[in-house]
Amino acid sequence: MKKVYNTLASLLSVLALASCAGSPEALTYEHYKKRDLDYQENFRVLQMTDIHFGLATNFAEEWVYFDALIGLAEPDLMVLTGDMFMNASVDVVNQLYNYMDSKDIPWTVTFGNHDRQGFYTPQFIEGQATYDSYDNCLYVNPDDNVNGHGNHYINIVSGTDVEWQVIMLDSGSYHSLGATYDYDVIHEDQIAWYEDVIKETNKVQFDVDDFALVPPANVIPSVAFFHIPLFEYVDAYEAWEASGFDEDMGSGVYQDSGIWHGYYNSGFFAKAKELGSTRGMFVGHDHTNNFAIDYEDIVLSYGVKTGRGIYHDPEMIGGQVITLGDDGTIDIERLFVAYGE
Amino acid sequence: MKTKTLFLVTNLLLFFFAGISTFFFVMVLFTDAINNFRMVLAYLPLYLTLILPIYALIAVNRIAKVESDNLKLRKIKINALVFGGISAFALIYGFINVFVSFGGNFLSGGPSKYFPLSFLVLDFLFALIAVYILFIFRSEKCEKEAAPQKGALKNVGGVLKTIFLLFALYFLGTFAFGFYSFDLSLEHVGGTLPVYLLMILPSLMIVANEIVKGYVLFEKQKFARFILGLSGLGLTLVLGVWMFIYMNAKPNFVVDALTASFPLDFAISINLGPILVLILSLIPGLYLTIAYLLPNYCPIYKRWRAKNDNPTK
Repeated sequence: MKKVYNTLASLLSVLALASCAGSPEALTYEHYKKRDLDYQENFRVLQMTDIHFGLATNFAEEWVYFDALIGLAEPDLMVLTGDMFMNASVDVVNQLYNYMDSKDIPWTVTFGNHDRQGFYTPQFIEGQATYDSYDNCLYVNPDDNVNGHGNHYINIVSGTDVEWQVIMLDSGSYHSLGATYDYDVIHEDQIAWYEDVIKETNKVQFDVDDFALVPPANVIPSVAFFHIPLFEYVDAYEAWEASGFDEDMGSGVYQDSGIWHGYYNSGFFAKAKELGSTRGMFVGHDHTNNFAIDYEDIVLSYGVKTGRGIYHDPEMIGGQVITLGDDGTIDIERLFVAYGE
Repeated sequence: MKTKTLFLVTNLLLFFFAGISTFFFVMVLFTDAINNFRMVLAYLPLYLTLILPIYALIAVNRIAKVESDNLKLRKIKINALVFGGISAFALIYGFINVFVSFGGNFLSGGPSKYFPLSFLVLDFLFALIAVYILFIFRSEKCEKEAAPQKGALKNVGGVLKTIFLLFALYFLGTFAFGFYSFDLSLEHVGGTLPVYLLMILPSLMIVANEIVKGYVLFEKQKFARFILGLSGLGLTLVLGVWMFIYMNAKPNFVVDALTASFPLDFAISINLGPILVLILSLIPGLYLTIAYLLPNYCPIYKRWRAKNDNPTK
């Protein structure tokens, strides 16, 4: 019996030591980016969203489709905005990530509400894109206490100047309401993280101690990518509808059965407006919505659903190219690619 | 090893593999269903392969209940033929399908890194097992003999038991796949533990019941099953209360730690999985307890009484 107690005590000691050894170093905003990208005129970001690869995916057919889309988009950066997977396996995840990395184009991911539903641990899906052999992947997942996994950003630079920032946020998956579930949101601590990234980058660039000293017209422009739309997408659509679908205000379609935002308005849009950096927000989630509306000086846009995973309109799948102009403006181009084209 | 023990061990192994197969079958079918069954023909061999362990489990247990040796032998041969036929079909279809659907790539991946080769190997092994069974019984002749007719009530009971068995197998598979999807942060281990235990409780009750039937003297079975039923009920209530207390304290723990275990919940946005495992765990305990209290409605107690009334039978 004594031997058993000794063994248990040793095990507990090892566990206690392991937990002490793993205490993370203090994180700064610099830890949330992997490396900078060089800006070139009309920088093209290809947004792919809601791919929904799962156990019943035929990769041979999918890669032909993806090759066609990427060939058409000619992107400088590829961004996957969640729900890449649903009921997937480790092999399915690795196949997509290996494919993305094989294109020799920088790429990154953020998660949707379905990505964690698969034959792997939550830790696998949250960490796999940080795998060292993915040379072109810019995803990082620092060990922090901020909500979500892999909140990170990418600086697009000319020399030492940051021309654009790409902000990637994990808008979570679900929120339990007891008997039912609603969708999650970008939480307050993530909004504080976003504010920190924007302010610190601008303070360094303009060599000032206070972000308020940066002239609003000079604030570094940014775009934000996440999965679940904000409450303001509803407001924006209503405003667009009230304008008689003014073509100067918006484009695209609203064809889903709703705008399926999170369970409460956590204030991300208000913060983005206050900081004056973010020019556009790009989400996925609602597969048959692809509108983009200029709402209170921020473009609120859906992506174009990529591929034929779960429900979709076969005429409305492909990807979306967001061009980041050198004058701080964005341009949106929807690419519709059908299978067999 | 005694025949009885050998049967129990075989049954346990079959039960486990059938559990994994049921869960995997449902997962692939669900994934295919939400994709308009686009891959149903390409994945047909996989579906057939996954059905085989479930078929074998049900067949073995049905055969074990047959009293006539002649009929037993006949059923073994017929079921081995069906089992072998399905596996051979899946093997041939699967082999051709590699070239039709997967561009000749035997390691195209998906369900596993080695898919579809892994399933072809399984089909080959299943076919070999069927051939082996037919081979060892090849010289034993059996006469044509009709199985005894069952009453309508018994048929309904059989169907309900099979449905319960399939649910129990599904959650046993969910539990087994939990080793792949377990939340390694251990943040919610206090909540996931009762849920995982509730997942395997129905299967444990089925196995325990079979052990009672096989190893406890027939005269003592009635009381043993009653104790088993009460234990099952007690355990279910304790685990259920534990789960609900945790759920009340941390409502999002299913989302954080069990998303992979209850995919249907998140497809319909209803917190159904934990309730379902609780209800499923209650059923065997309730059944065994009620059967003890109302013995006139339970077939095994009727047999027990008949044997007591006529010990020579």
